[in-house]
Amino acid sequence: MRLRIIGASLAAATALGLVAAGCSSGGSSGSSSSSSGSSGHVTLTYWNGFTGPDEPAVKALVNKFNQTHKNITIDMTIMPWDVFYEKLLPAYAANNGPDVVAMDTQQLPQYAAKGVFAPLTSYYSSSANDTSSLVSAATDATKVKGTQYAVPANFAPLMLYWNKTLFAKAGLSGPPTNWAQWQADAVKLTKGGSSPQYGIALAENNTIAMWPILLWENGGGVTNPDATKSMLSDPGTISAVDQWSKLVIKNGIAPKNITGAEADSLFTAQKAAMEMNGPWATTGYQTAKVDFGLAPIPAGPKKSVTLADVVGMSVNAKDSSAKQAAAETFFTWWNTASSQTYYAVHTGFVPTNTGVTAADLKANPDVADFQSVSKSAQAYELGTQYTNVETNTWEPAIEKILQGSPVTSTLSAANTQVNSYLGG
Amino acid sequence: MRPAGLVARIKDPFATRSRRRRILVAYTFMLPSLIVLAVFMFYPLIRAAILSFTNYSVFGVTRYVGLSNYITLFHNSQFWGDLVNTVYYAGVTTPVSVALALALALLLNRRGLPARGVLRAAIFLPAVVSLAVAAIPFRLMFTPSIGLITYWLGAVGVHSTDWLDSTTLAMPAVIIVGIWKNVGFYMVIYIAGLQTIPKEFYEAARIDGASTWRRFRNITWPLLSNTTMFVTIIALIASFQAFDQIFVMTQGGPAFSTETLVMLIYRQGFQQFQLGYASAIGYILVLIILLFSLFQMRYFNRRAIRY
Amino acid sequence: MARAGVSPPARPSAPRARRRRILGTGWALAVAIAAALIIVFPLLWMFTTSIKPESEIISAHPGLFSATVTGSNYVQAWHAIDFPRLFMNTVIFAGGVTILSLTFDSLTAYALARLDFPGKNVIFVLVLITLMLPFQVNLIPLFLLLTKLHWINTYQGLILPRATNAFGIFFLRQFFLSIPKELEDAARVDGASEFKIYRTVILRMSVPALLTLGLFHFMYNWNDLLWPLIVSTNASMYTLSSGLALFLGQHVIQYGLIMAGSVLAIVPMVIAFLVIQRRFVESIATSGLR
Repeated sequence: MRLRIIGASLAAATALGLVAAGCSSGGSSGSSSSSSGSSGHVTLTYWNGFTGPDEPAVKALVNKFNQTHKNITIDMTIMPWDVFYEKLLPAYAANNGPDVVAMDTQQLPQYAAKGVFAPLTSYYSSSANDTSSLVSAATDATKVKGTQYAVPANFAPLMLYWNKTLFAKAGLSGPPTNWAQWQADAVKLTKGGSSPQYGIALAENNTIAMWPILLWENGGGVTNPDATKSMLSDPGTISAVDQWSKLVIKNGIAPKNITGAEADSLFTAQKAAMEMNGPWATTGYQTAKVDFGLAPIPAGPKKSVTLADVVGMSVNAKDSSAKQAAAETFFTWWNTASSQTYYAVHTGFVPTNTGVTAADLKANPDVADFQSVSKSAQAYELGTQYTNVETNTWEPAIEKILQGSPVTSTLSAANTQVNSYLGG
Repeated sequence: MRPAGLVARIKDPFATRSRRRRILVAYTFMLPSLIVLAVFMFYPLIRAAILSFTNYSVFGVTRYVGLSNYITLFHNSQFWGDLVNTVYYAGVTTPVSVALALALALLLNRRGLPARGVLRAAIFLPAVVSLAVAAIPFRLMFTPSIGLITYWLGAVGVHSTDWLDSTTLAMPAVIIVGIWKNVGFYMVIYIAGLQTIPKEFYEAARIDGASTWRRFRNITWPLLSNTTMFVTIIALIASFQAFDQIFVMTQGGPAFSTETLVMLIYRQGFQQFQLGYASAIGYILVLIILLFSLFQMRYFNRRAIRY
Repeated sequence: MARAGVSPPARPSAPRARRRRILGTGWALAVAIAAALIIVFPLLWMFTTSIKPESEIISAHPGLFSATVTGSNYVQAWHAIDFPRLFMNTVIFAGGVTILSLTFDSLTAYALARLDFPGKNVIFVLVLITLMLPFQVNLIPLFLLLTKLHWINTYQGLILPRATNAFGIFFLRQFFLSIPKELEDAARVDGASEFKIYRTVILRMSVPALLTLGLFHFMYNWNDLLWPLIVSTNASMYTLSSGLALFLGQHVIQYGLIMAGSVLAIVPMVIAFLVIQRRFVESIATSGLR
């Protein structure tokens, strides 16, 4: 009896709550024709996946923009990247998509091909936007088949993190500068036993791409730069995979199938002496009191190159010209030297604006190191077939090889598969 | 209660009401559920069924393609591999979870056992935690090379290898997490079922000198058959739909060795946006689950005790 | 226990029986505690991680406990996701779904278990099928439907699609089937309406099942990460679990924060379970069933 009365009153309360809440539900639902009031005020919905430690800096910058630009308000929603990619296309299909998004440039071609983003050719050609001061590797990455579809939001090249303590213990004086030294050092720094130690934390899934750097430096690659043809059966690729996989399998220089986050954990726990990683990791390693140094990726037999991870901001193709103009104002503001200095110092990302000098970055000196390798950085772009090539073909191939599958035949099968995705 | 003669003459009081009234009453009871189900379940379900015959990809032109999604599926070795993985996962997880849950329920329903509430809460706790978060310590436990747990295991002399690396050990790891998550949940259902068995039966059996095993076999097990059928079907459905821990721990790897049909649906539907194709896979999964469940239900119905 | 003055036939003497029972209970307790510890171990790690400073979580010589115990992760988690607002959202969401679902599910389950009408088995199978279809297949058609109804970012969009639940219907149907029919038949003979029978006879005898199901609904929705993220495009409408997902960065996982947030999110559920646990036993005792 008492239970029923409690239940009934709870039901009533909930119903009342629902009604009240329904009248005042939180926030706007991102429709593309939103409030352009009489004063010309524009509100832009902005979706991105800047979760984790990046979030406070991004939020602070957006707040600052809103405060200093009284006629534009950015209404930002941050969500995990998985959920972001799940919702974005359906939202656009339902005409309910955001005005502005930030997205990894690896995913950009698929969305640009569906026509959801507005081309930004005029943005780039207008000198008022000062796009010439942006890092060229970043602005290359935002192009899809020669047309610009995004403006860089952040830029992150990879460097070699090396553990000074572990190197000293192994009798090594400094970081390797070429492959011969690199491979020898990795073997020397690997120890088995009850407290194992790895020469390098090499990740191949759910990670910033590390293996492709090894392929590039040996003159190979997953695909050619245009992403029109597979390069998995190229001699450079085969030789690189062969060399490094043998070291993993025979000498155990790295664990066999780990994610980026685990590679980071290994380095943090000082169980790996080296790692190729981006600038976001510096704060974590410092907090964990790892004595690390930063070095450019050791030069390969054919090339000396590193990978750049670029996130770009794009505009909804269906936005009105007023909204598009407002978005472009935000993009320009985001990429000014002062905004980028703040962003770089607080998140560790390299400023997209080349006008920011090392002196400006004193508060976070590691950033300056990363900045110095910007010129040799290239983006890992696979065109519209990114998921098919990367997740469905390349990663399983490497996983199989590390489990013992023969290199040449596995790569050959993968090569055929990638070509079928790209050629078709 | 009632004189025997009266019972003999009135076979089923319900049948004396008019048939129309009966139907009206029944559907009135079900109306709220049916409305919600119709709008939010059946409508998307039917829509998904229709989509499985098209090449719907959220954006762009949608064309009717007949059975070609299904035909492509049958020729896709990925699909068959995932089907095997799915049956492997379900075939191990379901019986083990149900058996463990029953054992734990019997254990924690024992009279005189102290701290039952706390122990039940402890075993139920995994059901309360979000699997995406719980998978983090599990990943660490199954990847000893990162070392968090190895350190203590090593201290007691247990050495292990990286489960999630290996194409043979990754699936058992994922199965263990699946069992861990749900066993407490099924245990609580079993406890609810055990509580409905009248204690007099046990008292009578004890007075007759029946052993623990005979009490279980002749009283508990038959009277639990409704509950067992329910738990088994729920466990079966849940195991066929396992997603969260696989997504977080292995993403279907290494080399697709832990990829199940649901992960394939996710990949095709949300990463490639081939929703027509993904819906076709979804319906094949429904068919498989339906077949298994109907088989289960017939098995238990034959043995069900109805008052 | 031997009754005074009556000596039961062929039974071991009372002190030996009691000793055997205590031994049996002790053994059972040991097994139960071992099982509980094994199961709780990952969660124990989560808790100890949440009170460690971030720098010590992934370290060269990890210990289960650390010398420095800190509450800073909790403080940070509380502020980072606007805990009070998300808590309220979660209570409204989980509570609303539970109440509506219990009501609708029990009505439907009663009809399926006790009333006889054409189409009964068809409806039951249809209900089961909704349970079998993986939600990934449903998700996008449902999202598009909610968009059309303008229910994105609203409480009704969160709650109403879940207002009835195939699991709940199935669960209660099984339970109702196992209730002895005599009481209802007597009421029917007396001319009571079905609804009255439902209210007085069935509901009163189903308190443990309803409590259990209510707990399940509440807990499932309390924990649901994906659904609120799909339905809401504004962080102020997120629930606790969804808010926690924001601590999982793309490149960096903030272990201490996410564990602290998870502990905060679990505690209400544990309390709810312990409370229900006791009411469970009380309700059995007072239900007059035995």
